[in-house]
Order: sequence, then C-alpha cells, then structure tokens
Amino acid sequence: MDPSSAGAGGNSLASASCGDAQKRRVCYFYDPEVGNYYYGQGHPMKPHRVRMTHALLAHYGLLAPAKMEVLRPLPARGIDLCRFHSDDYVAFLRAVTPETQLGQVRALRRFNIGPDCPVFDGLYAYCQTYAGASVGAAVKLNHGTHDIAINWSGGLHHAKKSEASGFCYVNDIVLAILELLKLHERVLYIDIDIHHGDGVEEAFYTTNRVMTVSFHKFGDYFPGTGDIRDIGYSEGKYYCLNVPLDDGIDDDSYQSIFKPIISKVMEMYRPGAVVLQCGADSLSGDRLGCFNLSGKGHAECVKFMRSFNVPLLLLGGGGYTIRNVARCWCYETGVALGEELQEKLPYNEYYEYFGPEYSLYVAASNMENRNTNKQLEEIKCNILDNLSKLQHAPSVQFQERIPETKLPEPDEDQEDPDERHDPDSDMVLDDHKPTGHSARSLIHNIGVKREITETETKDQHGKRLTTEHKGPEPMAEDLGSSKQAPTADANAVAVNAPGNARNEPGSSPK
Amino acid sequence: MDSSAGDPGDGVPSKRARTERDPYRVETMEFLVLVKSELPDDVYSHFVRSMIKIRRQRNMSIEKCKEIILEILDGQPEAIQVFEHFIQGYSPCRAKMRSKAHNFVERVKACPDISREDFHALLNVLAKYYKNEIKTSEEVLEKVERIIGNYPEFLEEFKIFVPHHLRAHLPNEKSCTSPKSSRVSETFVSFTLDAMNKLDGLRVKATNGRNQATPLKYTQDQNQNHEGRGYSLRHKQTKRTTGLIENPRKQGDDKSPHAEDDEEHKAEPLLQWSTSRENELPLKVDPSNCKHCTPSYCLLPKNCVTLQSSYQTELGRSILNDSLVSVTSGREDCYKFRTKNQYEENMFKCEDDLFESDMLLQRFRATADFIEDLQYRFGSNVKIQEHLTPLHKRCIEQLYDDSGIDMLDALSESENTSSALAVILSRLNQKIGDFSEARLSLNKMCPDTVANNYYRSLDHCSPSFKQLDMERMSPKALLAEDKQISRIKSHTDIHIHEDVGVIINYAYSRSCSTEDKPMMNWTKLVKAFVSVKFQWPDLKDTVSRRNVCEHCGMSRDFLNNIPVAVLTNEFVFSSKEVESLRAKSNESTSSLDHFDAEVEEGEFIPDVENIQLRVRCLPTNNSMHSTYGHWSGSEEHKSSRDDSNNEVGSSEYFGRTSKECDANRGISCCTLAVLCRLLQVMYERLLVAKNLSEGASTHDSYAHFKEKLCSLIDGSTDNWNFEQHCLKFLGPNSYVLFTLDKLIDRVIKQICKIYPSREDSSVLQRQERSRRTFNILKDPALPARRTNSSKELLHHQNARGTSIELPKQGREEAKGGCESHGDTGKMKQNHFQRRKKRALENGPPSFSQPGSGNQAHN
Repeated sequence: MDPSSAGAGGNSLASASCGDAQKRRVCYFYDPEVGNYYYGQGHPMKPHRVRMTHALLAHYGLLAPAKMEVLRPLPARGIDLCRFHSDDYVAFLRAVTPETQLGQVRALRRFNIGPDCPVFDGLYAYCQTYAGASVGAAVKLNHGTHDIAINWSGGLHHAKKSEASGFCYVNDIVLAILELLKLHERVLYIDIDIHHGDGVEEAFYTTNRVMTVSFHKFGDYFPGTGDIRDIGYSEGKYYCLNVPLDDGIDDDSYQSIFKPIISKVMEMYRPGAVVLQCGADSLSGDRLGCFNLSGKGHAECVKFMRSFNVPLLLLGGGGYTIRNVARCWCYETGVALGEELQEKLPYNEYYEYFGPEYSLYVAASNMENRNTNKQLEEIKCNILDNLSKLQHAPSVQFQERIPETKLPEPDEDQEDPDERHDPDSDMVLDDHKPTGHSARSLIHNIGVKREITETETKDQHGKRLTTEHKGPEPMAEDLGSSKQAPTADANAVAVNAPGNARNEPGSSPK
Repeated sequence: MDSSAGDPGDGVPSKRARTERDPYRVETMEFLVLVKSELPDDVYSHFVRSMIKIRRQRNMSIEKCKEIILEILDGQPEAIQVFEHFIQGYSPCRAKMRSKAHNFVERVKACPDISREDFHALLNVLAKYYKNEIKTSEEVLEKVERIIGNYPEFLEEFKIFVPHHLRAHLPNEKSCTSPKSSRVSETFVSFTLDAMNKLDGLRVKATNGRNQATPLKYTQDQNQNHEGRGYSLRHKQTKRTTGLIENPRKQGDDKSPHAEDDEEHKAEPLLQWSTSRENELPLKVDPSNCKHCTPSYCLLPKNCVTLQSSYQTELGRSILNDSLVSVTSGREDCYKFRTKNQYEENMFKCEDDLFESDMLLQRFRATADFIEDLQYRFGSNVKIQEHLTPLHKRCIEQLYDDSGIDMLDALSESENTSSALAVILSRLNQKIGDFSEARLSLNKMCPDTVANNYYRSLDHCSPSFKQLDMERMSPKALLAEDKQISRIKSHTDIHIHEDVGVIINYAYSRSCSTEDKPMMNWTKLVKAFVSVKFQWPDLKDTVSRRNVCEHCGMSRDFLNNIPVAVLTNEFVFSSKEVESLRAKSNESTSSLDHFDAEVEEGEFIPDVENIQLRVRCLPTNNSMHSTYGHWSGSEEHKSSRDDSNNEVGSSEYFGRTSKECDANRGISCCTLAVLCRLLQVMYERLLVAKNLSEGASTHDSYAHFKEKLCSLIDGSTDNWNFEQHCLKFLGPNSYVLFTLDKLIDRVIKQICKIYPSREDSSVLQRQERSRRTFNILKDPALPARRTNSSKELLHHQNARGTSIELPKQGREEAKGGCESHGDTGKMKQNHFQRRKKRALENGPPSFSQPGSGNQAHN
C-alpha cells in the first residue's frame, strides 16, 4: 500500500467528504473455528451463520485480495476482556465447563448464566475469538489503513460488566469502542438490532465521548430497556438516543426515521469513528423478531453510514433465521465494498438453506405495520428535540491529535524502509522488536518469526492442516493466514491468497 | 545492548511507547537478555549469527529452525528451557522467576527455625502487596526484614527480588524528566523491567501460597478479600483525582503514567477462579432499592459493593459507567412475541435439520483435521490431552458414545498415542462419511418442503382477510359502504374495465351455456354498467336530498340518466315497459323492494324498525293506487293476491304494498347500487394485480394471472394453487386477490337479479353449473360437449325468435303459483319448468293456447 493511502487514512480523521463512487478500503475478520461453537440443541443463537456468511462471500469472490483484506483475529487475552468486564466474571467464564457448572449454582445465578446464556464447550475460547476480532478491527481502523472493518461474529451488545445477558457473554462492542477512543475524541454507536443495545448503552451512559443510538422494538420485549426518555446521565446527558418502534415496521417507515435522525446526529456530534451493529433479527421472517424489513431495507442503513466516509466498524449481532442472516450480511459486505452482487446465489455447500428462490435478497412479508406515520413523526420530533440540546461538537481541536498519530511513522521508516509496503508485516515486526538492542538483534527476531509464519502458511496451504490451538500470544504467527475448512477448496484458495500476497513484499530483497 | 547507544535521543520515547504497547516485543527482549546471561560469549555470538542465517533462508521449516537453535544451545539446559518457553508464547522471565520464587518459599517453609506464625506472616505481607494494600516495595522489604531478619541467608536471597527495583526507581524518574537518556539510564530501564518481573513471580507464588492455608488462614483470606474490594473503590477514586491533576500537564508527561499503568497491568496475572470464590461474591444489586434516574436506569448506592476490574486502563476508568445500572426484563429466547403461521414453522424445522446436520459434520471434520495435523507434526511422542480443545474432546466422546469418557481417559494416560490416534482418525472419517450421506439425503428432501412452504410463510394476512371479505361482500355492507364512498372517481385504466367484462363474461359462460342469447346480453350489460360509472360525476350535479334513496344513497334519477338506447337495445323490455319502470321507480316503493330482496336472500329478519318503515309508506301507496286505477278492474288478479297475503297474516293495506313490490322486483336502485359496488371492488382488485405484476421480475405476470384466474373459474385449478401462484409471482401483498372467485360469483348473482326474466332460472343456473362441474370431472371429451351445447343454443334461439313475448307471460304465471304454495311451490316450480320444456319442444302451436289465455286475461 503506497504512502498516499496512509495520507488518505489521515484525512478520514478530518471527515473529508468523498463521493460514494469511491472505493472503500475494507478489512474483514473471520476465524474458521467460530462456526463450530454450539450453544445447544434448540438454542436460537447459531454461530454457524457466520460460517455460512463466509461461504457466500467466498463464492461471490469477495475474499479476493484485490477486493478486501481477510484477517484471522488474535484471540483477546483475559487481560483484554478485563478492560471492561470484572475480574471475577472473566475468571469464571474461563474456568466453567459443562461438567463443572453443576456445583456452582450461586455463581451461575450471579453472572446470569442460564438458559439464554448456557455453558457450552469452548465458551471462553469463543468469547476470546469474537472479542479479539472486534478489537482487532478497531485497531485496523486506528491505523488508518482501512476505511471499513467488518466482524460478523461480533456485535454481542447485551453483555454487562459482571454478567451475561441475551446470548451475549463478553461485550466486544464496548472493548472495540474503548480501543477507538484511544485515537478518536468521539465515537458514535448505532444499533439496528431489533433488541435494544442495553449493554453498550449502560457502559457509556455517563460519558459524552460515546453517543449511543438504538433503533429497537419496545414494549413487552426483551430486554425491556430503551425507553425514549433514557437520554443519558451526568456528562452523558443527551448523548444517548433511544428510538422505540413497534411490530411490522417496513423499509419505507424505517428509513423515514433512521435517515433524518442519523443525519442530525452526524451533524451535531461529528464522530471520529462510527460503530454500526447490524443485528439481522430486525429482518422480516426472523425466528425471534417481529419487524418486516427486507434485506435491502436493512442494508440501506449500511449504505447510508458508508456514505459519510467516516471510519466505520461493522459488527454482527442478533439474527436467528440463519438463511436470512447469511444473505443479509453477505449483501452488506457487498455494500461496504461498493460491489453489485448478482441476485442469483452461486452454488455453495449451504445452498439448500436458500430455496426455493436461491436469491440473495431477503423478502418482506405482508404483515401489518403497527407503526403509524403519526407515531413515527412524534418519535422523530422527540429525538430531534433532544439532539438540539447537544453542544455542537465538543471543542477539542483535531490538530492536537495529528502529531501523535504521525509520530511513529518517521522511526519506522528509519528502521526498516520495507514496513511501508507491508502494514501487517509492520504489526508482526513490532511484536518482536526489542528496545535498546542493536540492529542485528532486530534482524534476528524478524527473521525468526517471519520464517515461522511463512512455513506454517505453506504447511496449511499444502496439507490443509488445522492450526493447533496454542495460547493467545503465538496467534500472531497466523495473522496473515486466515483459514477456512479444508474441504472447501475455493475457500481455502480465496482465504490464503491474501496471506500469500502479503508475504511477497516481505520476501523481496532489500 | 552496547550498540544501541547510538540511537537518536528523540526516538527513545516512541520506542518505549511501542515496546510497552506490544507484549511480544517485551517477551523477545526478555528472551534475549536471559539467553545472553546464560550463555558464554562465543556461544551467544554463534547464536546471533545463526539467527541472521535463518532469517535469510526464508523457506526454512519450523522444525529445522528449532533443530539448529537447540544444537547451538546444547549443554545449556536452562537456556533450552527458556527457549522452549519462548516458543510456546510464555514470558521467559516470568517462568524462570516463578520457579525461583517457588523454591524460595519452599525453603523458608521447610526451615525448622522459622515458626509457622512467621511463615504465614510472610505470606500475608506478599498477599497484601499483591492486592495493593501495601503500596511500596520499601514497606514490603521493611516488613520482611522484621519477620526473617534473624536469618541473613533468606533475607539476602529475598533481596534478589527487591533491591534492583529500589535502586532503579530513582534513575527511572530521572530519565522521565530528561528528554535524552544516557547509556546508563537505558541499562537501568532494562533492569527495572527485570525487577518487576521478579516481583511478579513472587506475587504468583504468594497467590499459590494461599491455597495451602489452614482453615484459620482461609477465614483471614476472606476478610482480606473483602477489604481488598473496599480498597479497590477508594483506589478508583484516587485514580480519578490523579487523572484530573494530570490533565493540565503536557502531553509528553501524560504519556508516561498511562504507559506505566498498562505495563503494570500486563504483568499481573489474571485472577484464578475457584469454587470457594463463589461464596465470596457480593450479591447482585436489587433494583427496587435504588433510585431511578431515567426509566430504565437506577443509581447505585455510594457504599454499594460491586465486582471490580483490576485491568481497566486510565481511559476506561474515566469513561465507563459504574454508577448506574439498567434494569432488564424478560428473556431474548422467547417465541410468544410474534404469531407465526404453520408454513413458517415448517421452514424453521427444515432449516434446523440442515443446521444440526451441518454442525455434526463440520465439528467431526474439524476434529479429524486436527488429529491429522497432530500426527504429522508430533509423531507419537505427544501428550494429546494438552492439545485437544474442549470441542475436540466432545467429538471424541460422542464418537464412542458410552465409552467416550473412558476413551479420553485412556488417551490422557497412554504414553504412546500414535496408534490410538490412528484408530480415532479412522473412526472419525467413517463417521464423517455417514454424516455426509445424511446431508445428501437432506439436500434432496428440503427443496420440496421449502418450495411448498416458502411463499405461504410470507403471508400473514390472507386468513383474516378472507373472513372479513365475506362479510364485506354482503349487500348490506356494500350498500353502507357505497353511501360513504365518494362517487366522484376517476378510472383511468380502460383495459381493466375490459378485463372485468371479459372475466365476467367468461365466468357466466362457464356457469350456464344452454342459452346463447342471454349470454350475449350479459356481456353487453356488463359493458353498459361499467361505462355508466364514467357518468357518475355528472350525476352529482343533479343529486338533491329529496331524490336520494335513504338506503343506498343513489339518486332516484339514476334510471332516468341511463341512456335509453342501452336499455332498449340490450334488454328484452319493450319501450313501453321501460317507461313504466322508470315511472314506478320514482315512487317511494324502493325501500320495500329492498326488503323483499333481502327476504329472497334469506338475510331479512323483521324487526320493529322495518315495520315502522312499512307503516310510513302507506299514504304513498294510496296515492299510487289512485294514479293507476286501471289495476283495480282486475278482480281476479287482486283476489288471488289477497289470498296469498292472508296466509301470512297481513292486513289489506300490506297486501297492496306487497302487490306493488312484486311489480318492481325486477329492478331497483339498491340492486343496481350493489352491482355497481361489486364491479367497483373487482376493478380495484384487478388494478392491484396489475400493479403488483409490474413490480414482479417475471415478464407479463398480469397475463399469467388472468389465465390462472380463468382456470380457477372453470374449475381446472383449485384455490390453493391459485393462491400459490399469486404469492409466487405477484408477492405476498397479492392476498387481496384470493377471494376473486367468490366476488365474481356474487357479481353473477347480482346480475341475475336485475334481469327479471332470468330470475327464476337462478336455481337452474346453479343446477347447470353443478352438472357441468360433474361432467368436467367425468367426461374428458369437453369439446364434444361444447359442440352439443352450441347446437342446443341454436335450437332455442330459433324457437324463441318466433314468439318473444309469450314465454315471459308464462313465467309470470308460474311464479304466482309458486308463491301461493310455499315450500311445495319449489317442487311445483320444477314441474312447471319441465312442462314448459315439453311445450317448447312441441313447437309454436303449443304457445297459442297460453298466449291467447293471457291476452284475454289482460
């Protein structure tokens, strides 16, 4: 990637306006193991949907390195989870297993582990995987090398500091936002899941550095929070917006309230980064949902946020009719890339889910829309009235951030001119460069780790070996070699291609 | 390390920042420091040169790399151990210092001269330091000296962990204040990190030490933990205050405390969960005791004890909310919120079957791939238990069913597991084959299920719509609706009008094909009524209250505005009779006509309100009687009417009313209004179909829809298939079309009311339709039957051509007889119809007798 793109990343900090026609640089985080976690028979939450989404992306050719960068995430370490969650809660999640849980009823109750949030095999590893992907995506946005970062396995917005809730154990969104706040003064969080994003809202309820906006079904519906009068508290007053909606809302009604509100929010708040939780249970036909959005209507929100050209983090969320979830998120990945995908689905190993039409589009039903125009107008006026009470963007100068952002660049150039050509290699290099050692020592470590990475990549590609599940730290070696189930040849080729492409610059002679 | 002295001074802060930002860099540095301290100089130089070579050979395998390094480190067991730890991703210093700390504590415990009380006191000091109750290292050293001061060798060994930290503290501060760091300062920075890690090792041991505590010690631990949590709250407040103070400082100064904070947190080990920990957890906050700030949030009491996080960053502490909690209700996994139809449930079952099948297949496949990888990488000298994830173990357990747990235990105990792995792998692959076959079976079954259920799963409206529509199509509802609807309508799509006419013509031709002439009349009649609707705007100009019928809101002048040519050319009425009908309709007898219409349909139930209406009509009847005095001369006719009325117990006046209603039964404004309304509804629905088809992707969906509708009318397709077609090609909003067949039936019925001469044949029509349907089912030679029908039509047309008026008179006579006999009248009616048929077959001579009789009567 040439230096000018780094400059473009810097421009995004200033919210430079760009046309929609311009391509966005997109990175996509996916762990091949995520689809194997199993909440239990009959449980609506199915991480398998993320694997289905990935298969669609592969067969549509979106995983090609020319289109977007595909990354396998580093699992979040326990310390990383404790940036938000309490020590005891994380310790319990790490220790509990289906066999040991029976003797810890009190702890299960305390941490709200139960039917909605069961203990299943690999629970802690699952949390590490999706949280690591969200934090990794936020880091990518901070680097300025990408405009949009995607993690469909994340978006678990109900988890609280010391308890699980609504199928969510670790709140990866809060962790990602904390990461974004290291660089950006203000971060906007938008939640279009049908359920209210209570965990994220609670975490940032008293601060003005994060604005939370949630569009959700309200009234005798989980989690029961999200009243329009919940507007934030203390320093966070008016930085929390709740848009309560009713059953059967359709595309036109939804956009008639989403676009005016978000336009005003972007104008008044001017966030440095946006996190959009794309829960797909607001689609028509969802097993647990009661809205009537079509796939195109749901993706219209993504398209709208993309048009602002602000660093954008796309996360998954709810979504319990998995044939609709996979198509929706595949379509939205295409929206992020600016790709027009053909309606007819390409054949893939999950093709039978999508009959009888085998169409990329999720159709709306004819259910009654209980949101009257009058009600929606009242809600909109109420929200816009709260927005008018905001101070017009906090008075912190952007210039103060620019020197800090640029500070690392000259040193990197001096130490290793090749780094600019391989940002991910930059991450790898940073991992092993000790301070105070000679250039020779630096070269030693670079060589050691790089050789290991390259060798493992080749092994995986040639023999389709499953990577051993080591501790969190060694996963740095796999950063450039995201992996797919070996049986899908197309997937394997598509997934490994980015790794190969990234290795080429590194292997060029100095 | 010496060579790094040449680095530019202004680069130091950023380097330090990046070092602290990334744990892997720190670990690499630790690794190199340890290796250098363990190895002789020449071996270390050799090591460094080998690293350079390895880097240059980019295609070297991992195993070969390790082989080279281990060869260099041969004879240095500690260095090899450090290298192994490094490869596995652990902190080399941490591991080494943990071992030393453990050794130290064990020897202190084993020393007979140190009492148990003193030993526990030592552990207590370390535990407090770990929980930040003792804040400074100086204090730790001071307390330790008091406890073991009498044993110099132990104290001296303990100082290995402490003195470096103390000595490094001052130079570290100096380096912070100075923008450029000297060579000596860098050395101290390195040692500082080393010292911190040593302390870290000690803390780990302190934690382990608590596990060995006596019951008394356990109680003390509980108290300490409680105090620790309280301190954590105070600590947080202190941190906030510190943050406020630090904010005004320069940016460069802000960076150091933050980075240092991160470093400290990274070094601390995570809390280990134990079952005893469960009892120490503070209870969850009871929202009912808290003050609500906004509807979903309550404010925590200030003294509230909540679970804390020791690893929050400065940023997190300043931003994250810990003073309010939201109050949730309900469960996300709850199905009651949305009514789903059975088709949707069928779709979900199919999806679940595919999902469960895929999960089994994918997990077994992942486990098999993992074991293959193990075999390839480690051969037979591997403790498999250490590498298996919980998911892999669960698969193996399921693989062997009841013996699964035994198999896992055997794996963990066995030294040589290569043969076991081979067996497991074989079984896994076999299982994968079975699951793959099951998946293929599902692939064949699912398409049918989803095809049959998908389109209907999108339909949530049609069941209730069908019920409502039946009620909406009743004459009462249509009339009420008609009054409320504005008559000024613009119907811009002439093609829809044509379609309405064509479809009704088709429907009528399907229902009765024995008489060609009436069919032709119906076609033109529909066109006439459809075109009449274009004139409704004109009607408004002439509408006045006095002239509006109170029941249907239609102007009584409606008939006057119908073009005479339309009625004259298309109806069998003579001009004289048309004039007569118009004159009669201007009277107020229309309301009574309405009542009779309802009686015929079996919907009319007499009540007080209706009787009052009848009473109000009496004076008008008198007036009409005097106007048309010529009727009073027919004594015989009047007498027969009176007889029939007496049977129902009516008075003489009611008898007159009834007689007059009979005369007007054939056509009334209400009947016309109902027909117009039905045609209007039909127009609107065909318009919906046309609009939906324009949005559909299929080309010319509207034409296909009309074909399908005709198939439904003639019985070649059923309602279910018709609805499926609409949902598939026109989308889920096409549910308003599902009742079109019933709507068309009502239109046909309503048309029959308007044409009096055909009224008696309504029963005949139904019989014909039933017979025809029966024949369609039994007789495949439909064209032949149509030919026969055509001949029959020609015959009847010829027969009627010679005596157009006589049949009408005959029918009137028959109808009179029917009324006088009640239920048995129906049987007589059939008898008369059969007699009529025989009369027709006999030819013109048979008509002369009844004809002459009627003339004499008139």
